[in-house]
Amino acid sequence: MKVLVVEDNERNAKLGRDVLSYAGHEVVVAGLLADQIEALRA
Amino acid sequence: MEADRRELELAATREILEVLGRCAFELEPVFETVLGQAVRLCRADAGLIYVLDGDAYRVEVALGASQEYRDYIAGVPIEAGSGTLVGRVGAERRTVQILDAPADPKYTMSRALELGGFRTMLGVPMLDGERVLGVIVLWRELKQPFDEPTVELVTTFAAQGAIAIQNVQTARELEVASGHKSAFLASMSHELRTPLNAVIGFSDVLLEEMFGPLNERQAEYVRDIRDSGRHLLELINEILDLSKVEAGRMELEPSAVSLPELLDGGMALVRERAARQALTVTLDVGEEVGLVWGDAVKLKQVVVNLLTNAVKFTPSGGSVAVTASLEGGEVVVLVRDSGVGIAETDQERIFEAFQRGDRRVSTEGTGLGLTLSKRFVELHGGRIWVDSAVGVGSTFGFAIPVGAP
Repeated sequence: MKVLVVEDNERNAKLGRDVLSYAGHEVVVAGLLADQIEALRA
Repeated sequence: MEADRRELELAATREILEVLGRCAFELEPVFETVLGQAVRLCRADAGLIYVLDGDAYRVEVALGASQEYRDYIAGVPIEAGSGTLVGRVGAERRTVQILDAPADPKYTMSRALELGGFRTMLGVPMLDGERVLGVIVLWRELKQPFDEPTVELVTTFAAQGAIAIQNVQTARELEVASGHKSAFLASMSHELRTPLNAVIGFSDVLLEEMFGPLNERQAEYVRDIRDSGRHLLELINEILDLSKVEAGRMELEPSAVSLPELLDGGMALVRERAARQALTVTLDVGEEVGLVWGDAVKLKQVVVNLLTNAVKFTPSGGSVAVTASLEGGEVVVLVRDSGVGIAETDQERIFEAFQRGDRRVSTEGTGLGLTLSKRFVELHGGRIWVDSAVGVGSTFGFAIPVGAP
């Protein structure tokens, strides 16, 4: 599954990315609002 | 005659003190009483109370003066040192008497003279140390000086007025400070919780051994990190809840809640630990107990808190018994344990923040659980209590109305 992680704290974003990747998901992390919009468009 | 006068003055002072006690944070009732008594006992024709507002004194209460005069002075703030009675009292920080205002060249409020029609004026400062917080003004339409006992009496009243002003100022400062505290807590809650998520989350990842095994000691240390993080998170959440309750911002989200299910859910959370301690845990819910109108999350928090405490403070082999019954429109929940008990002297303060009495069997817990439970039960229109004896055990109980709070 492709998962978008929206988290502006870098460490918490890394935590989400690592746990979800470990579970076999494809992860995209977005922090700032602009990044989130960009990630959603992509 | 003198005795009668003294009696009247004492009665007046008593009345002022009574109003001051009843309306500790309101100026108007205190000022109206002070001025009413001053005008009456000093045989004045009219009176005013001015209060310092920024750099100038503004009239707060007027008695006996015409409406036209009041309208006029309401729009005239008076600065200390100006050519008025209040201005002089403000600058000189002492009582000032003007025997005949129309003939006094230092008195410059000609329009006030014209509308008020006064001659002899008395101005007494309401002092806070060297600061003149306000001024009591009395006047007579005839040229007739206020004698020394009268001045002394008004000085006594002025002291009461100064207390009223200080009370109100303190209340306003507390309100501002409370606003700052709430803003600080709201901001800190986010700032504190965000890094804790990483502490707890990465600890969990390590303990799950997702990216490789830990040796026994490493696993123990990581568990310590995770448990300390959880403890800190719990403490932050409870402090925030408590500050919300105390600021009056905690609102219930009521619905029809099944109390038997809620109690069952609470028991499930402590059952494992109770088994580890070889405790006998029982739940007895009366058939008549069903739905209550309340906030399910907060009621669960109360139940879990009481159960957790009971298990925590009961030595191995003991018992924890929970009962629920319906008594006169209230549902009563009792959590009875055979634990260490609480000394009578500690039973009152155990519901206060960060108090645990002498129950120092464990250092776990935030010390806020019972305080929050009490507040949550009271928000439901209910009450919470404890019966306990050292070495015998404790029974914590709460009762809430079955219907809507």
